Amino acid sequence: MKRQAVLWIARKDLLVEFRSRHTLSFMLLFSTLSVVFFARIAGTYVLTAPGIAPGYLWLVFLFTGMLGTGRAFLREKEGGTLDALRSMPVSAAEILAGKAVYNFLLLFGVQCVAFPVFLVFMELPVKGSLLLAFGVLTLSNLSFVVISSAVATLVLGARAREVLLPVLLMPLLFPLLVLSVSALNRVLTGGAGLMDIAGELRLLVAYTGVSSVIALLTSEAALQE
Amino acid sequence: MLREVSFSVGRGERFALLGPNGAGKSTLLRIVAGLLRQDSGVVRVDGVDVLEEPLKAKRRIGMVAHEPWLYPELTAEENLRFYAGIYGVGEERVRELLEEVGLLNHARRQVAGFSRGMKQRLSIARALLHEPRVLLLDEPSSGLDAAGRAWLRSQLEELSRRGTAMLIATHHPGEAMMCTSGIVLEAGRVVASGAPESLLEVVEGEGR
Repeated sequence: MKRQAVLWIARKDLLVEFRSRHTLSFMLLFSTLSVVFFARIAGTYVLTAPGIAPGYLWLVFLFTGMLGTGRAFLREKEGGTLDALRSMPVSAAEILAGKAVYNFLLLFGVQCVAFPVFLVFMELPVKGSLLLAFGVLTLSNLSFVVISSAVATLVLGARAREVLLPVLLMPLLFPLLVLSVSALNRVLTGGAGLMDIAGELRLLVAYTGVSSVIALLTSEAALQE
Repeated sequence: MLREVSFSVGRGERFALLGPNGAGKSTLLRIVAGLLRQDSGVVRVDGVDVLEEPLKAKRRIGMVAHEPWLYPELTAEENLRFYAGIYGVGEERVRELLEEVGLLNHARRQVAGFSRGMKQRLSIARALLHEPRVLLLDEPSSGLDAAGRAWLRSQLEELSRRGTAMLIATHHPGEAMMCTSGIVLEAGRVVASGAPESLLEVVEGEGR
């Protein structure tokens, strides 16, 4: 895989997003509003129950991520530039990797804003390391963008792709959500350290690795017209 | 669907693909470009099989499609720089091409504000970035005014002199007459081949 091509695609997408600000602004708005609304509606006594707050945080990321990650390919498809990418000497795997890098940076940006907002509004009695919790979220987001970018390529040719994407994505994300919520819950409310959540992290890394390999292997067929 | 289509285009030749809408001209170009896979048969570009070695073949091909394949949010320069980055082409080539297509003064303008003709010029520059040996053009003069068409003609002649083989899908008699030879497609089959004058007679005969 040519690293240069992957970086050029990601850089171009960031520049397009920086100019239009369509996706990132919606993602930020949606994620922060969701956190604030939920905190007001559910009340903090509900959220302090074990597993509720990290689970809710993941729901926010799930829907925010689905809003954004599908756009990267859709924009190319609608603008006709997907053919331009495919006409160049870059493999489908490199195109997919470029999109995944861009999606990851986008979601990481959202995470940097939404996570502190979440901590402030949920008023969680945090027992563990916030840095470790942030690390778990980052690793989970990486896994999320690999899977969602791969599924986004699969549904590109479908007529009802906006509806199809979440339907296909949810079952694939289930193991990731269970592992991530468990690790986050243990860190935030149980005060667990890195070694305590090593099992979840190992599984997360393995799931991300397997997903990446499958995504790269299926990319050629997925992007073929 | 294309059937029994066979032809070869030599260095510096301009080969016309004529025929009515839906005849298969664009499909043929997309197959040559590696964007569509043919069910059978072989497409070789500069001796490279497009299906077997797609990346090697794509390095030899430049394509000007019906859509400009540009990012409207980016400037003309940023668009070319992105494609140049993928092809591994230097910054000087970007400036050189912008000058060649007459857009150097508009290099820092967003493509969203460009006219159809300007986009077409930039699209041609994009296709020429990596100095392809084969250039595929789908209705290249669409959106160009008389001056633009004259400019396109001189560009294609210059590319011919440099040895670039060109495949031009067109409805436009003027574009067809710029070609050295070609074929007429109808419902995916070749119904005539030869010099552009005789091909235009076939096309006009079918139109009556």
